[in-house]
Amino acid sequence: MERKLGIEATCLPGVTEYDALDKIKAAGFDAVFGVTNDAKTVCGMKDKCEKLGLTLEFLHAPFRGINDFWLSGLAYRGLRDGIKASIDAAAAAGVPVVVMHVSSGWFPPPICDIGFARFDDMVEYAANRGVKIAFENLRKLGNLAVIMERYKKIPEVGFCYDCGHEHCYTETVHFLDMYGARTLCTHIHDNFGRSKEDKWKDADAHLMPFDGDIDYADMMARMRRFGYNGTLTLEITKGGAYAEVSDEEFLAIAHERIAKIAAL
Amino acid sequence: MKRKTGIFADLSSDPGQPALHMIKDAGFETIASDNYDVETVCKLKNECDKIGLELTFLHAPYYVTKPFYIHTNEFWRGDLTYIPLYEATISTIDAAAESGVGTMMMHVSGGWDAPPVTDIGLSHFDRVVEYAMKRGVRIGFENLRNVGNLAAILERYERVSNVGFCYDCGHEHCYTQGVRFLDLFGKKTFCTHMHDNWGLDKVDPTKDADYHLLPFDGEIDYQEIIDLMDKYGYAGPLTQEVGWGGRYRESMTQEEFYRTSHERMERIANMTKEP
Repeated sequence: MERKLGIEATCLPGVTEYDALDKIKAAGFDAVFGVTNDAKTVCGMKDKCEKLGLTLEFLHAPFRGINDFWLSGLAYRGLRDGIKASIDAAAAAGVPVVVMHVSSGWFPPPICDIGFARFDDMVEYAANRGVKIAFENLRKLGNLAVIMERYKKIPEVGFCYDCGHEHCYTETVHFLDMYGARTLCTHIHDNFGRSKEDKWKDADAHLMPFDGDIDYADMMARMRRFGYNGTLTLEITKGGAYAEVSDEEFLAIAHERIAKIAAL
Repeated sequence: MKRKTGIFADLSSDPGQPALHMIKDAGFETIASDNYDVETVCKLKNECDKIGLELTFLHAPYYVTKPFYIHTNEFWRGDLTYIPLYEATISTIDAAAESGVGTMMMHVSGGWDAPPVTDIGLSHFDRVVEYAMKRGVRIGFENLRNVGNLAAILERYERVSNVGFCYDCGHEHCYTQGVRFLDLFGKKTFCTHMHDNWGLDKVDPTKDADYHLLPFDGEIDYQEIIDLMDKYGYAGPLTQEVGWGGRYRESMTQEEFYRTSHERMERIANMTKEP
C-alpha cells in the first residue's frame, strides 16, 4: 500500500508556509500541514496546494497555555479563541482535520469538569462545522485516554499519532495499539528517548528520521496491524545538523527518509 | 524468578467456608478473597497462617445488593446512591488493615458505557485512597473495559505510593484486545487476576465474553504475559480468578478442580525466563 508523504509547511525557517509549498512539492512530497489559523491565509494555501497537487491535510491548532483549559478562571480564553480560529479556517478552506493538545508538561493540572466542558465546546464547535479534531499524544496517557474515551462515539474525534512524543515521553506505551483505528494523522520525527541523565529534561528533539533511535519498522507494523493507512507527515524544521544545507537539500533528505519509513 | 501461584478462595466454596486445606494440598501458596467483613477476613487470615497459605489481597466489592443494587458506576454520579458501596469499600480497607493483608483491589467503573469521569467521582476516589493511605493499605485498580477511566485514575495518583494496578489478563483479552496493560502499568502492578476466554465475541461484540475459564481453556498467550511481567519486574503471585462452577462443577470434584487449577497456574509460572 502506498502512503502519502507529508511535511509541515513551516519546515523552512524564514520562508512562509505559502512560499514553502513550491519547494515541498518539488522535493516529491504529497501533503503538508499548516499552523496558521488565519482563514484567508489558509484558504490561499489550500488553493495553491490544489494547483500544485499537494494535499493540505490538517491544521495544527495553537497549544501554548493548554493547561489553562483545566483551570478555573478565564485565562484559557485566548487559546480557546485561537483554536476556534483554526477550526474556522479549516472549515473555510475545506481542510478536514485540526490537531489539538490535551495538556502539557509532566505535571499538568488534574482533569476536571470545567476542563471537560471546554473540550466539549471545542469538539461541538468543530463537529458543527464539519471539521474533525485529532487529539495528540504527549506526556500524559491518562489525560489523553480519558478524552479519547469521552468522545469514543463522536465520529468527528480521532487521534494524532506522534511517534517522537511516544518515544521520549511514554516509551512503553504503544498508542497505535489503542488508537490505530481512530488515527487521523501523524507527526513523524526522531529523538533518543527519555534522557537517562535527567529524566525531566525535555528530550523531544524533533530530529530527522533515522538521526535518533526510533524503531520505525515496529511503528509501521503497528500501523498496518491496527489499520492506519493514512499519510506519514514529518514534523521537523530545518536546523541543527541541517542548518547549513540548502532548503532543497534539506527537503530532499527529508523526503528520502520518510519514503524509507513508508517502505518498511 | 518463578512466581508464587494463588487462587481466589471464595469463588469455589460456600461463602465463608473456603476450602483452604484442599487449596493448600493442591499446591497453591497464596489465596485472595472477596470477603470484606473485618471479622471474617481476620479469621480467614488466621486459618491461612496456620496452614501456611498467604492471603495476599482482598477484592473490594464492585456492587452491593442492599438496600438495592448499587454498582461502582454510582461513584461517578452526583447523588448519594454510592454510599453503601463506598462503605463496603471502606470496610474492605479496614479488613485489609486489621488482618495485616495490606492490599486490596477495586474497580473504577463497569460496562461499555460507563459514566464519564467527573469531579464528584474523582473526589469519591480521593476519599477512598486517602483512607487507605491512613490505614497503610495498598489499592490496586483493575483493568476492565474502559482504558481512559483507569488511566485517568492511575495518573491522578501516580505519586501516591500505595496506589497501583491490578492486572486482569482475561479482561484485557476480551475487553481491550490490543491494549497491553503491563506496558502501561507493569511497574505499578500490585496483584493479578488470571483466567482465560476467547476474546471479544466475533458475532456480537457487545456480548460479555468474560467467561473466567481455567487457563489454557481459552486462547490467551501466557508466554507474552510472563515475558512482560519479567520485563517490568512484577514479582508478585499469579492469582487465578476462576470459580468451581458450571462446566467445571459438572466435570470435576472440588479437589480435582483445585489440582487442575494448580497444574495450569504452575504451567504459567514456569514460563518465566528470569533465573
